[in-house]
Amino acid sequence: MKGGAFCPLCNRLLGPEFWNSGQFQACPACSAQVMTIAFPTINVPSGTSSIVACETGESSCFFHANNRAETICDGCGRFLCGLCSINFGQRRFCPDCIYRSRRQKSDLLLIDQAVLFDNIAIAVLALSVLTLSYLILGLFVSLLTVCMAFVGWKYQRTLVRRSRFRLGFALILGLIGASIWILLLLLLLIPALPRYA
Amino acid sequence: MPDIISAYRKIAATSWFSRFLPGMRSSIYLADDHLLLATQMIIFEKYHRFFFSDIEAITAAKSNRWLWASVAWVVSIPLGMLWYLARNNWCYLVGACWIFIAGSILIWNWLAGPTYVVKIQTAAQTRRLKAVERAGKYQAFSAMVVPLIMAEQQPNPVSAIAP
Repeated sequence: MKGGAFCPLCNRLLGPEFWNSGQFQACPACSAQVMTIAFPTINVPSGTSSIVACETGESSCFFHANNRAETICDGCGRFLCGLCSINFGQRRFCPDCIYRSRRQKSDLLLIDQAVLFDNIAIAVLALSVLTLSYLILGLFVSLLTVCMAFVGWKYQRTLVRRSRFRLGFALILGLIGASIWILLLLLLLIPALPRYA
Repeated sequence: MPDIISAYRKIAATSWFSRFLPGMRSSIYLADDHLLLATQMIIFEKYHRFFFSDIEAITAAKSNRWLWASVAWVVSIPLGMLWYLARNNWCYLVGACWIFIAGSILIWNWLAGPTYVVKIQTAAQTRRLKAVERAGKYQAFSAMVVPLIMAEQQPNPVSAIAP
């Protein structure tokens, strides 16, 4: 199927007369002013992965024994047909490698998400304060925040650079909260302790 | 996960205002052969890659969002003046802060310029680029990225570009 550009607002297909004009033009469907920068790839038909039946003596796809192998997976070296080969720039992977790499986060090119422990730590603390549950569960929430900050400090790995300011901020807030709670509990408990003097 | 590499260079990001809106924070990074769109969803950061060789089109449509935002902030300034009806020093202070903040955001909104809806498209995915939806940012982004994409796709016949 040949590609095409679409209006960002109404998703109507914009014909070649809209491409690379260098100025905004009215979309025929929604009348929005649209500008399209089209690149040569737009004219390359998509969905044309070559799937050829495997003849005797030819290498077959690892996943489809009846299909002729077209390429080799850059992750595991398996033979792949056009159906199983997934391009990432200049590299090709099989679905297994993509799934495994995403689970194990072993290849930077295939990582699709990261957990933000700093946001979790701050959100836990903020939510407990806003819902007033901090008045009851303050010590627990503070310790949880400290734990999340520690875990984040050690394990948070985002694909792009991210400041550790939030982690430090959450750690300090959690430590201050926990200290105050422990102090309050000690002040409450010490008078209740049995006296032997 | 392997150590973070400094292969990515941030070229655009949504404004500081988006930090307070879950799912609105997104940034665009430039690598050697692709763009990386990083979108924050409170506790996750999701990544989408657009290889220069795969990008088919970048489309932008003018949007009235900045006008509506201006109207909203213009309306909020008189609302802030209502605080002055209460004859109390603290209310005067709150009113002043309200007007100052609303006015600052209004001026910033005007200075940032018109808003667009920008989408990037490959054969497999189409994503909205919220980080470059202001006129100035979009022009800077286009000036930086379009030559890189064209250079990557140069082996294709130039006559394929229409028109």
